[in-house]
Amino acid sequence: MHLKQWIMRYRLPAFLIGVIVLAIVLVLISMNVYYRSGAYQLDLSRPEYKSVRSQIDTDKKTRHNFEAQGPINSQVLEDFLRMYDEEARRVIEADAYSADVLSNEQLGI
Amino acid sequence: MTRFVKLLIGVASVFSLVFVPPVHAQEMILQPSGPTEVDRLQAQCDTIIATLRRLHTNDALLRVNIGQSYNAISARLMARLNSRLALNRIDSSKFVEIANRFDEERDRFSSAYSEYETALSSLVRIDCKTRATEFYAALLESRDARTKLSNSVKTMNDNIREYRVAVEVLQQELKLETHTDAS
Repeated sequence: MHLKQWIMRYRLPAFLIGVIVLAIVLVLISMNVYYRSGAYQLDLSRPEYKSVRSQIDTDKKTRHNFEAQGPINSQVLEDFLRMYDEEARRVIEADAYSADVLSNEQLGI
Repeated sequence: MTRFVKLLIGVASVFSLVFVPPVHAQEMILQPSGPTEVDRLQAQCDTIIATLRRLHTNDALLRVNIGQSYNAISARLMARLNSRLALNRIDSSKFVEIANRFDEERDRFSSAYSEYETALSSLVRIDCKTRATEFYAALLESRDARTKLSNSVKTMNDNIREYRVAVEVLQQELKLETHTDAS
């Protein structure tokens, strides 16, 4: 009852406080989702990734699009394999996350 | 004399069983294997931390770039060819099965990366000069997480190769059919 009276008496300050509290709650919820979903692990806009940001592969022109409709014949599959090989080469040649990088020998322990 | 030696060995065995505290296998694994390793860890601490930080940054970049490539292979190539095969009433069960396994492995890869990134982030926050043993235990944890991640990458690469072989087989079959029809 006292709270209601206070709100009715100081409408503008009560409104401002309410808006700030709501903003804080929404920020907390979004930060929680950001960390829990693992999105922060892929977020290269963080300051510590400034040095490698330019190396992000953003060139969409080099990505291949194979049409989902159309005939299937030897020539079509030849074209598909050409696109597929280019894309596959990126991941296979990267030799990603090789296990020995954290070995004692590699770290000089 | 022989009796005396046997008695001595017996007493020593009983003494070791009663008074020496048991060492758990896990504890043994989590300790660096000797004082020289601890010394080396402490001496090389700055270099090791710098290497790990660089690795952490490069791994994050690789995760984004390789993730895009895996996504392109799955959504823009495999899924579209599977759809096209189905529309042309060609048996695509083998292709769909490989693509499904690839997608499942992508999910496992995402989880494995998340686990690895968490372990490596914790590792680089530990001061290896003052907490060398704790650092080494965290290093082993990161190493395990990276091995899981590496295995997941290998499985996906195998799936990519397997899908390619399936396309080649189909291509050969289509070529043979064309030759038969022509003759």
